[in-house]
Amino acid sequence: MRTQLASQPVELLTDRALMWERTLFVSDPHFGKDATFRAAAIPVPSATTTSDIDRLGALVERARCERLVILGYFFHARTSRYESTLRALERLFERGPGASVERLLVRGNHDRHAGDPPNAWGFSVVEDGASLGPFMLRHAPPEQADADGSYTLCGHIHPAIVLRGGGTERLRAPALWARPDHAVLPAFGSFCGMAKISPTPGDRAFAFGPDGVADVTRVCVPRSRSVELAGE
Amino acid sequence: MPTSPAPSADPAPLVARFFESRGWSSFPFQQETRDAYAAGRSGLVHAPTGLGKTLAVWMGPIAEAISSGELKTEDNAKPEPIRAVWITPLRALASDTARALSEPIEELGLNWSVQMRTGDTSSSIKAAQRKRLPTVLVTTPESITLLLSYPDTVKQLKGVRTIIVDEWHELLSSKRGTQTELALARLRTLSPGVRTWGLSATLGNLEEAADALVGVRRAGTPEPALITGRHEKEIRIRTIIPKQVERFPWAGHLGLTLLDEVIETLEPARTTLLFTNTRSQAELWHNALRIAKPEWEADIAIHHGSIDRASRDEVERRLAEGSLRVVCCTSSLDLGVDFSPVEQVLQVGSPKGVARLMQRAGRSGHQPGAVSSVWCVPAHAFELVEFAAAREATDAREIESRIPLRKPLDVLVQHLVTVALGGGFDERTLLDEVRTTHAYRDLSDQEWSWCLDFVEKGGNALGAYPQYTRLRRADDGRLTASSKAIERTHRMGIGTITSDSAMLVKWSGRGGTLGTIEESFIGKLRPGDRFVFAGHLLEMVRVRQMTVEVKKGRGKKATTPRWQGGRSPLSSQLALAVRRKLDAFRQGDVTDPELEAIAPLLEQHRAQSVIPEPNELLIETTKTRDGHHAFLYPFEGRLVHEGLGSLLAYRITRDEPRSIVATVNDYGVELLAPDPLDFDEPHWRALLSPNNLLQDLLECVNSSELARRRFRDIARVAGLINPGFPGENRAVRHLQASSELFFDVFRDFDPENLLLDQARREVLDQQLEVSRLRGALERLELMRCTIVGIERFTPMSFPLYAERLRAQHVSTESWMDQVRRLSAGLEEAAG
Repeated sequence: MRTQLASQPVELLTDRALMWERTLFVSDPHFGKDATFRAAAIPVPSATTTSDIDRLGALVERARCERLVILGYFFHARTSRYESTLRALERLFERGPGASVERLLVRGNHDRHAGDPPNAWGFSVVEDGASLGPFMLRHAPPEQADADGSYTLCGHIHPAIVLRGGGTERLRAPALWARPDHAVLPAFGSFCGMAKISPTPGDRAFAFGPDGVADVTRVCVPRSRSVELAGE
Repeated sequence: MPTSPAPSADPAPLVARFFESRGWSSFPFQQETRDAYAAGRSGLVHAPTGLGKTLAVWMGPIAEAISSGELKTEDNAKPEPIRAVWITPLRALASDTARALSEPIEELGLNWSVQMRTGDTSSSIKAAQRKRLPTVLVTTPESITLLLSYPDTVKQLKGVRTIIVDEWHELLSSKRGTQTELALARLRTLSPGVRTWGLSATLGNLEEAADALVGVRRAGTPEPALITGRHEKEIRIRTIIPKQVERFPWAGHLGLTLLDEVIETLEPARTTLLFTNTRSQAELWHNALRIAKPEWEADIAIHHGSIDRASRDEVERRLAEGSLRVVCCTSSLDLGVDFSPVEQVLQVGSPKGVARLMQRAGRSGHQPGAVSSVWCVPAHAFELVEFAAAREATDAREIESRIPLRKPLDVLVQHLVTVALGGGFDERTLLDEVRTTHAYRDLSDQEWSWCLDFVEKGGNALGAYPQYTRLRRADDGRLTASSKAIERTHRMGIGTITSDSAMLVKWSGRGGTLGTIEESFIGKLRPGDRFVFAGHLLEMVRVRQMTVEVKKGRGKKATTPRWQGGRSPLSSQLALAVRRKLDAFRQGDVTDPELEAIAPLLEQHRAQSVIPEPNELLIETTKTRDGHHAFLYPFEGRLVHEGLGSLLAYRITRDEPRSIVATVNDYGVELLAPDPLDFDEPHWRALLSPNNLLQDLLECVNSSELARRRFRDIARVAGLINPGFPGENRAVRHLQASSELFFDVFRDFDPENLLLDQARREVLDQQLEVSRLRGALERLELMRCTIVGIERFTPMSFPLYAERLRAQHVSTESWMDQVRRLSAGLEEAAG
């Protein structure tokens, strides 16, 4: 669905991604998280990662983007650099759709521990606070608004919203949390937990589901008093 | 060190002298048990609590010890090696049991030692026990399983002659029961001549209980002995009748309104146990009684499973010495030694089952010549009918069955790792052993190899789990643990079959533990919030890892924590009795004081609708602001209704995408839909048909959250989730994932995973009770169907309406449609 962030038109894609002009943003792919679990004798199917890699490739192709920005948490941990995972990523970024676009990784604190993608994959790795057009790029949400008034795109917290119906009905979905000075993207990875967010007046929220993206601002974000008065 | 053989003695006079010295005469059933034991048989002794069951099974092994000459002499410094394992479901019972078992040992001068090993045992004792076990080990299912995971204790356990499982009925139909079955099978392999005895309360399926205990018998082994204990004494069941029965019997509505009458009942008795069905209710009543009767302050206590062990021990000590007037308690006091000062029992709310009411009543009246007396306190008006019904069913001894579980694969997976740690195993031999348990007697080869694959390769999905290994295959084909880290996490996980994620409640600053509380409750509190726990008004200070720090709170307003699993469903025995009582009323029989009291309410119902006959299904329909309601009253108990509600909702929504809310209680089902539910009789009959039941229910389970929620336990038992223990750090952060996430990735990426299958099976068998549901549908088929349009809610429909917060939701809409509807609904509610 189309909406605006920092007065810029953006498109939210069902695959938990954001498109601005010719740039595709995803956050927290946690590649190889399955391998880390398996190494600790917890069986997690390897397809969680391979399907994410395929999904990213298809997305880059479909979106016809010129640039791919990953907002941190590329590998899940050191033990995530499992051979077949590396080979699949190599295919994507050295020969596949990922090879023909500009690649940017915002290095989060975890990435320092887990390690950057190999040079051959062509990523420019930047630190928190790099800017791109009207946006500032970070891994984690800024603690306070940037002085220059730029708008931050970030990830890190894996935002989710919860809608409740009668009885035990409860729908939990990954979300994009758009705040006045920054927006938090949902986690791209399939084997990732989520954290329920508590938006405050002035925020917006968008839920990502299997068949679309929905603006859930009106039900998930409390209205401030002034807005209510204005409505009356 | 070998002991010098003492002259073997004829045990009979010694044992008789012991009985005499204690002022007990041996009852025939005790003699019968000893004889059966001496003849080499295993068996089950069933009798109400405390009536000499312990002694009955214990005299056999004692007599055996005497005749084997295991007496204390000058030159045998070390006690005999391990001979007997006593398994108890409750750690709390271990110390009393150890004391009771020691008495004859000391009296008769046996060279036997008795020690406990439970989660509470100190690590130094545990370490010493690993080197040398005591002669008699009193332990829990978890701890005996842990012992099976150490090669050095496994070797010692080969000397076991007797295993006794106490309170077997408590374990029987739970995963802990299955865990016990597997441990028993292991012990029988280690020590082939071992005899297994169980102690149980009376059950509807004693033979099956005995079969599960002794396992599939080898050819030539005699059948297990089923020994009936001394007959219990008279049970007197009375009800505190409210002076004014409310017009509408909400669940929990009457609650504390009977406080004055309860106090009146408490006055004359020396000691009363006030049983509630939930820990929250116990806290509520404890608090209310203290406020209402400040002069009793020092003599009122509280006892439930979340309260710190030391405080519970203190309460039990004072109960035994008779210095307490009232103890507000939960099932935590259902079991254990008898407290002779207890003169009466109060049961707040429906006991939901005949066995439970009898068990609780039996906790009173141990003075000579006394009867067991229980006063029932209704928590809502309709429970009056349940009490009258419970009395009738108790008098007729219509006691419930407890059905042992069938092959839960999560428990088996855990067991495989346990056995691998305890010295490794050969798969063929272990399969044969596992198949000797009642639970896994028909385990298929395919299920077995899946479980093996799961621990060795992650699963049988080809190549899905590279690099994974929990067990390693040695050159000789035996399977052993693949690393020390796995041994450690596995042992930590063994105790987790029961535990939910519990947080420790501690006094801030000065330390001292109050007990444990569920994380989900603490999650809703903020620092400064007050709540009642362990009989104290507390203020939350902060949460640190798995510990909640609290200080004394001031004021009166406070919340009471809700613990999970508080609500048990009406048993089919009691449900049937309720139906009979209603029919008696319909025919004008109001001899029960409870029915007389509720008569105005039932009359009102009759004026608005009909009181169904035993062979009549009543359906009420109406329309309110919320939508269109249909109420059905099969009187089959909550579990069956849950299945029925899901089934009906699924069948109604199957044809067109729509959304239905199904609400259930023990009496009926409510369906709520945005469009009319004004079906005619043939249509209802089609919806209620038992045809395609399993298939439809499976569809329904797949499309709902039911299986996903069930996966919580399974993921934990199967070792997917390493729980944080109270006071310990949580599992390493990069290895954290929720059970829901596991469910989703298995469903999406390894749909053949049998643990998913187990989750569905557990929903069908245990949650929706599919076999009971089928029976119910077959009964409904033969019933007359009466459809009544009602103007306002009737006394029977209102409680269902009030229950809405726990309703099940069935929807066949797309994700977007569901989001749209939920958004619209929420906006309306807000607006």
